[in-house]
Amino acid sequence: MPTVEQTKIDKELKQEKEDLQLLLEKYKLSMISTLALYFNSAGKPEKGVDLLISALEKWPEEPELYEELVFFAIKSGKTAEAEKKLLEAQVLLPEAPFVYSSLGKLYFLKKEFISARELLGKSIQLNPGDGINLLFSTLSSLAVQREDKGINLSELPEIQQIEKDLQKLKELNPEVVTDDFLKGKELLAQNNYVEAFKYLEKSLNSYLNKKMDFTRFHQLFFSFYLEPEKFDLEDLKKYIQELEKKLSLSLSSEKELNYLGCCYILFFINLVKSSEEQLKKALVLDPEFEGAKEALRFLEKMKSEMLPLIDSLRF
Amino acid sequence: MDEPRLPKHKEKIGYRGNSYAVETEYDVLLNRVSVRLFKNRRLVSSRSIRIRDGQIEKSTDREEIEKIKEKIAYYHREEYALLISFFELSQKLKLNGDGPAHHSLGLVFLGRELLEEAKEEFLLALVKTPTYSPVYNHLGIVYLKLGMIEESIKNFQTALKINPDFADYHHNLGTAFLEKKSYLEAEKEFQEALKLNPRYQEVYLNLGFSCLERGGIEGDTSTETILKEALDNFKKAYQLGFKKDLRMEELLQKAFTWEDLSRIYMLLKSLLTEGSSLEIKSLCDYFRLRFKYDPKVVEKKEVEDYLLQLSQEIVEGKNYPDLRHSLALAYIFYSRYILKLAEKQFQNFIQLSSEKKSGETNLEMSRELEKKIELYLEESHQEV
Repeated sequence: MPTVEQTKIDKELKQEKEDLQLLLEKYKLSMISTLALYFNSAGKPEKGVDLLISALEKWPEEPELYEELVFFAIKSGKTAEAEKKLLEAQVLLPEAPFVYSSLGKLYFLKKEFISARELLGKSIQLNPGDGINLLFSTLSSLAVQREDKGINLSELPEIQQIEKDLQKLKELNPEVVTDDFLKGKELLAQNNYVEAFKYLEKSLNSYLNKKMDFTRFHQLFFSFYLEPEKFDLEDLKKYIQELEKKLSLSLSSEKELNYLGCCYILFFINLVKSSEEQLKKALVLDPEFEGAKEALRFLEKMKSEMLPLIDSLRF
Repeated sequence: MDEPRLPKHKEKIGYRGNSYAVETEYDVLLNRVSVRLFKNRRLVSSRSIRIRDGQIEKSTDREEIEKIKEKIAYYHREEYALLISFFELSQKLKLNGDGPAHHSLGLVFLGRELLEEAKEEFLLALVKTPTYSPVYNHLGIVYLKLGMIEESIKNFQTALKINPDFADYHHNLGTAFLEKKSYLEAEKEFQEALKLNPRYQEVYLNLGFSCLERGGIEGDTSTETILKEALDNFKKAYQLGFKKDLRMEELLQKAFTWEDLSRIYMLLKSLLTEGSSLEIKSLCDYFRLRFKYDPKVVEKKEVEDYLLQLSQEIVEGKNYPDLRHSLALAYIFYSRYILKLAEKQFQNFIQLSSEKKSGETNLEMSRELEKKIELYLEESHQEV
């Protein structure tokens, strides 16, 4: 017989699962990551893990969900659940590079470097164009080899490959190139592998932290979808102006280019909403206004076709 | 201190043998910017724009004066560009305009009191859509303004034959009869208009005026009854929409003589004219036409200014369904520019980022949205 305590926990778990299902039904794919980020910023990364695991049931082929699952799992310590999900996905999607890559990243962050290196290698084989994988893979290789103290690292062909990979990464993901990254690369060239690892790991961590950041941009989208009553159009306009200014001064990061595009889409949705509001007000003033009735009918039809499109927005 | 010198702007354009001029200057007495339109040196219409609350001439801030000068120049440029654009649209519609489009352009000209130009467009509209009653109604208004009362009456009557249930048509016919001094016929039409729209403020005002005129002529024992009738109508007109005004209420209470009532009529009429929506409605017609016939040439800034002006007019009291309808269309038209901006950013992102797939998904999505908007606008244009 379950104890009272156990029954209480089971009840709470059931409730939480139902809440997650509700969230998944209510929000589209584009919002799931933002929701997970929100949970993380609110100090509940484990809720983010649960949400992402449930989301993967619904969208098993979404690479970003796997990657985010890894990062939230590490943050919350729920790595076993994430690993289980990823291993299931490996069976389900044996040719998907993102599954290998996510599993490899999880093992790396768990400091299981040999498994990490193997899986990341497999992922790179399937998709050589992912620069972040190269960094994880480089770090895994360095970690494995520095532990093997009997070998002269500089003579190994793998080190030459690592240097090539880092060069490639610079081209593929320039946003990762920080002072730490450059320092790490320099140390690598000096055969100082232990220090090189430290600096390269630092550059990776700063990239991951940025990725996990619940930015003003996320806040805007979050409030637009989840708390529409709190959505502040003026705030959106201000943010757009700031991004535009940065863009005109060539100070925008590539991510901000996408953010600006997404913000325009948000503004666009608001214009459509304003248009709808005006037509409704016109009809309150004159319920027989045929032109407004017709326009509202067209607009509602258009909106119903637009919403699924907007839900495919990627941050 | 030197008094700030605010410039006067003047520009001319010749079109089909006529000379048009736009003059813009700051009117010290009204503390407003006046934009005047002349045709062959005769003033045809003017509008005045409030640009700040305090007296500009008394301002000591040079920077602010410069800003105001810029605004005056801006309003001038805008009006001049509008005028040119009206004529361009007229040329364009001659090639491919349908009846409702000519009608809309006629309303644009009517809004600027360019009566001959409006008449020409309305006549072209009738060639293409001979049974469209609003054209007869507006043609009637043009004739009335030109002093051609019989032509005006004929057109209002034709409009009513096609559509007898329009209060506006009865009211306009009544006004034409009033102009002809056929008071009883005028009042009959006003009563018809009130049956269709019992809250028609201007009809009460004109009905009162007709009684007043009749009372002035008859001057017999029935005068008192007629004046009372006029007063009742003025009271109804006042109750139906004017802001509460203690002075006016007092006047309405104490009015007794023909002179008192004439004064009340003049005051109410000027208040009603002040609140007239003809000008903004004509601007809406103009933009609807440009959205249909010139969509690629209309600039983002023009639409932004239009949106601002239209929203302001609504907030300031012109809360009419057709203005809200125009605002709704303007929002959608404006949204095209925003989608273009989004597309551009997604393209930049694709060029620079390693996460091309996200950018491509977003770009594809915004292009799909654009297609939907174009389709929507196409459907909306059917109404123009």
